[in-house]
Parts: sequence; C-alpha cells; structure tokens
Amino acid sequence: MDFEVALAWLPRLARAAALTIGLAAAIFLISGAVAMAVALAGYGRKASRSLYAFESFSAFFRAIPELVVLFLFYFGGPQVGIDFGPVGSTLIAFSLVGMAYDYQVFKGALKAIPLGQMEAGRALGLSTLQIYRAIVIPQMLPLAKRGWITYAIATVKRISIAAAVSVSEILYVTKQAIAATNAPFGFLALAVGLYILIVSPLLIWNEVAIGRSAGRSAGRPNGGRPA
Amino acid sequence: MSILLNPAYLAMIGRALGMTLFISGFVILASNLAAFGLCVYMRNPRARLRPVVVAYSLFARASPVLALLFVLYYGLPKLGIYLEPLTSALIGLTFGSAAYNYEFLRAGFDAVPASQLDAAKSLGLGRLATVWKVLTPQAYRVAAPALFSNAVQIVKGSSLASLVAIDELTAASSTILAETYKAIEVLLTISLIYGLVSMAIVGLQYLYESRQAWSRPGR
Amino acid sequence: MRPDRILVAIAKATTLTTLAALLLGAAAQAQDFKAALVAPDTLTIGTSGSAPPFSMTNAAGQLEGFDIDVMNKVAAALGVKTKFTQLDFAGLLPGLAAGRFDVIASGLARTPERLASKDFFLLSPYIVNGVAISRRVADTGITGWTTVCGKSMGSVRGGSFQKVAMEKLPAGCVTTTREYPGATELFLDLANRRIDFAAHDFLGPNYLIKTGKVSGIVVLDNVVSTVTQSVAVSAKNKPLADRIDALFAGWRGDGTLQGLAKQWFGASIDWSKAN
Repeated sequence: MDFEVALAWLPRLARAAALTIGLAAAIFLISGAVAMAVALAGYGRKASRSLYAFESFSAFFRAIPELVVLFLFYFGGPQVGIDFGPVGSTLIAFSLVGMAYDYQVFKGALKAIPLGQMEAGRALGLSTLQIYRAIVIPQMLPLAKRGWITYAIATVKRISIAAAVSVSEILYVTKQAIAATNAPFGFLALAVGLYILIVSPLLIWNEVAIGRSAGRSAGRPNGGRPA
Repeated sequence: MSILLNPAYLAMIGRALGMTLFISGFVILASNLAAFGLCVYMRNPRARLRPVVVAYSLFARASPVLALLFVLYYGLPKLGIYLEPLTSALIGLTFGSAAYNYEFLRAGFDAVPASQLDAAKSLGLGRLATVWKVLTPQAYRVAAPALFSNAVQIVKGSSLASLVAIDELTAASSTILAETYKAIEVLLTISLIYGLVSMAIVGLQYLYESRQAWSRPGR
Repeated sequence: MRPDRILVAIAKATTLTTLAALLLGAAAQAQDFKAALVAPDTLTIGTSGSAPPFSMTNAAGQLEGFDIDVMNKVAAALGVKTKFTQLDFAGLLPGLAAGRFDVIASGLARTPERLASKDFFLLSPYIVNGVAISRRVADTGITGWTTVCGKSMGSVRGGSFQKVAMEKLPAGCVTTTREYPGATELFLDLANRRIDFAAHDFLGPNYLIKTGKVSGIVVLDNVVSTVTQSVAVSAKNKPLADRIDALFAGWRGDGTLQGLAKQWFGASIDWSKAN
C-alpha cells in the first residue's frame, strides 16, 4: 500500500469528522429544543388536535427508515422546487427524526412529575413560564437524561447514513479512500474509531448515570451479593 | 400510489418486501438468541470472557451499523473470504443489534429481585430450572418494550443493506425512482409499507403484553 | 449631399445596424441559455464519480474522466464556470428532471426510451460504445452471450445495459441479478466473486484492466449492440441543449472527441456505427 497516498487522506478525514460533529451538534439543538417545547406545551393539558398531529408525526418519523426519510428530502425536495442539497437534507431529515424520539423521552419524563406541582405553582402566583423554568424543567432533565443520551448517540451514528447522499462525512470520505487506496481495513478501522471517539463522551456520561442505581439483583453474578 | 398499479413494479416491490422481511426476521431472531446466551453466560461469576463481552457491547453500540456493513462487504474479500452479500449483511446487522438486545435483557434480569433466587433455592430448584422458569419470564416482561422497540429498529436497519448491494425495499425504491422520477410518490409508498411492518410489530407487542396481564399478581 | 456620400452613409448605417442586430442576437441567444441556468454563470453538472473512465475520482478525491474533460471544454466554449455534483447514477436523471442540474454527464447511454423522454434533452453522440460481458479471467466457462445461462449477472442500478442484455438473452436464462450503485462497485464485486458476469459497457472495463485498477477480469469482444452515449440537458433549457449539440457536432468533425477518446479509452471512435 502506498503510504503517501494513504496519508493524503487523513486531513480529509479530519475535516469529515469536524463536519460530523457540527451536524450532530446542530441536530441536538434543533430536535431537543422543539421536542422539549412541544412536550411542555402538552404537559397537563387535555389532548388537543395539534397534539395528536404531533404524535402522529412522531410515530411516522420513528417508524420509517432514516435512509428513506433522507431520500424523501433529498430527492423529493427538488420535485416541489426546493433543493436542500446534501447537507441541508441531512439537517432537516435527521432533526425531524431526532425530534420524534426526543419528544417521547421528554413526554415520558414529564409523566413522572406530579401535576399538583403546577397547581401549587399557580397558587403561589407564578406564571406558566416561571413554573416551567423553576419547577418542571429542573425535575424533568435528570429523568430525561438517560433516554436523551441513548437517542443522542443514535443521532451521531445516524449521520453516517448521510454518506448515501454524498455528504462528506466520515464514512463517505472513508469509502472514497478505500476506492483510491485499496486498503479497506485501515480506513474503516479509522472511521469506526473516529465515530467511537465522538460518541464516547456521551457513552461515559450514560454509564455514570446508571452506576448509581446498582444494587442487589438476580441478574448479577451471585445475585449482587459479595462472592 | 399509482406505481403500485404497474405490475412490473408491484412484482419488484413484492420481491423486495420479501427480502426485507427475511432480513429483519432473521436478525431479530438471531440477535435475541445471542443476547439471551450472553446474559446467561454473564451470570456466571467466573465468566472469563467478561471483559470481552463488555468490550463487544460498548463497541457494537458505538459503531454505526453502516460502518459494520462496510467492514464485512469491503474487508472480507481482502482476507480471501468471499461471502454472499446477504450473508455479510445478516452477520453485520446481527452483530450490531445483539449488543442492544443484550443490554436491554441485562436490565431485565437486573430488575428481578435477588429474593427470587433465594425463593427458588428454598424450593429446591436447580440452576437451570431457576434461570428458565423463574428469572427468564420476569426478565422478559421488563425488557419486552425495549426489545420490541429494537425490533422496529432492526427493520429500519435492514434498509441500509440497500447500500451494500442487496435488493430489498429501499433498493427497489431507488430503482423505480430512477425510471419514473416521481421521488415523493415512490418514497411515500415505500414509507407506507415500512410503516405497516412496524405497526405489525407493535401489534405483536400489544398481544404479548395483554397475555402478560393474566399472570400479574393480584388478578 | 453628394450621391456617393449618401451611399456610403447608407452602407455604414446598414453595416452598423446589421452588426448590432447580430451582436444583440448573439447576446440574446447567450442570454437565453444563461437565463435558465440553475446557478448564475455556472454549469451545474451531475455526475456519478463511479463510472470509470467517464467519471471517477482520483487519489486526491477530485473528479476526473472523459465526461469531466468534455464538460470543461463545453463550459470554456460557453464562457461559464463549472460546478460538478457527485451522486449515485440512479439519482442523476431524477435530479435533472427535478431541476437540480443543468446537465448530466456520466456516460449516459442513448436508449430509445431516454431519447423519447420529455423530461430532458438527450444530445447527439459524443462516443460510440457497446454492451459487453465482463467476467473473471479464471472463469473460462463464459465465452459469450450463449454461455451465461444459469450464471449471476451484475449491472448498475438505473442503468440501461441490463435491459439490453435481458432482451438479447433467452427468457429465463439469467435468474440471479444484482444491481449496484455504480460501475466501481460492480467491477469490485465481479473481482470479489460475488457475481459471475457484468452486463455493462465495453470501454469502461477495458480502461480498468489497462490501468490495473481492477485485476483478474476480462471484457469479451462480442459486443451485443452498439450503444452511443451523450449528455442530457434539462428540459427547461433548450438554448443550452442546442448550443452543446452544436459544439458536439463540431468536435465530432474536427477530431476533438477523437483525441479525448484516445486519451481516456485508448480507442478510436467509428462514427459510422452511430446511427
């Protein structure tokens, strides 16, 4: 294998990693913000038509393969006159999918917060926004953390699918490198390594959240008792 | 939906759906069996491969599925291993999904109180009977929602096989799109079909959970 | 005024007016095609990047090939910049029909269906090619179109060569078919023993073999039918289609295309075969 040729691909891979991280961050922000807003809007309120609509939207985007959603925006957009381009389609498609999942996480977390707190807050004369900010959200976030991290990790990995519409993220550049250098294992190991690196802060954070609830249980060796 | 009216396309979609169902079914079965095996193995305090299993779980959950598929598709021939694309895809998808199922099932087993073990011992149940008759049903009851949800994920993961030369549903949509240029119509039709498969899985979950209601204490 | 001076004045006026009209006409024609471009003063070209040597990426990740060179020449002649966009072959024509590109240059075969299509203009030929079988060198059992029955066939998704092949072969001859996103993946799998033969063009694999990019395969000489290839232009831009067509006609005659073909395919084009 020509080492010089292989080395020439490293800067491109680095740029691809940067693009992946950037896309992930943007998607986290958009999907998290919208999902939290909608979940809060529906908290404690009677089910309205728009809430049902959002639930259907959430079900649709969780049931359809992400690749198909991406194609819908990438190929379907120009059909109605809008060309989002590869990166734009990826951003929109995966933000919508992320929103659909994050909504379920926040909805579930909110279920565990008794509605009586809202009433108590109102009795104290607090506005809805103040109640959300000071009472509801601080309780919701720790409950939602594990679920959100799980889906956040999935979002980062999902970006690899964007290679199918020629976004220059890690896997796309890797495929080109393989075609040029005929060294699949080296570059794929690098690609997987890069993805693991990007995801590892989230993974570590997730394990920390779980560790506190360890204890005696039948599933552990010896039932969790000391050997 | 008019593409479904074209008999040639209908036949193509039919065949592709068959392939998607086969891949999904196989991976769901294989990954769940593997997960169960790993859980039982890890209960053994002297499990020597424990770090290997932990490493596998972290690695397989952190790697993108597509990357795993590429490794098998592009890498194996370099080692002189010439597998059918379908075999590579099945191995890759199962490798990735089994780790998730293992974690979900592990959480299920963890949720069974240790007192159950004591109770089983006091009844004189051997290790095999304890695991199979006492722990497993309770573990699955807890893990079921996550396992069913992962089953839907596996169906969606099968669409990635289209990127490694397998003619399943998403690949069929690409081919039809290349001939008709009706992107939105083709892709929405395919989405509908995937949606129906997901709904079927959710239906199965509902059936399973309603059966479980019989054996809950207090009924 | 003296008569001769009047005549000179009239002649000058006529010349100036004619020149002005010609210039305006040329400008108007130029304005015509420029007005309908996807991006101003740029030719947006869709190409697959995986159809060697028409369209491929080099070690530095840049696009190169016969199509790239042709389009660079076209853009220079028209006085516009180029913007190449890479996409799997199956997505190129739908993208053109949806107004994403001005031109598709990716070894597009001029099939009857495509020529009759109202979704784009398929121009006059810029190369003459054919549908051929490629097989592994070691697989001496395949000698031609009569000996492929029972074997597995590979082709490019969205391409036209598999239809020609299936029409030529007896019904039920080939039952296992596999489609690939591009020619690069197709020939990789042929070499990796996943398919028995590839139904693709004649010039492409020859290039791969000559440059050693794929080893162990061979293209059979008995081409089943002559296929001409060209570029496709957006249906919204007839002036562009006409301009490029005119350029191609000129380059067929003056040997420009011949020179490019020699450079990329090492072959000469027999224009008489193009109908």
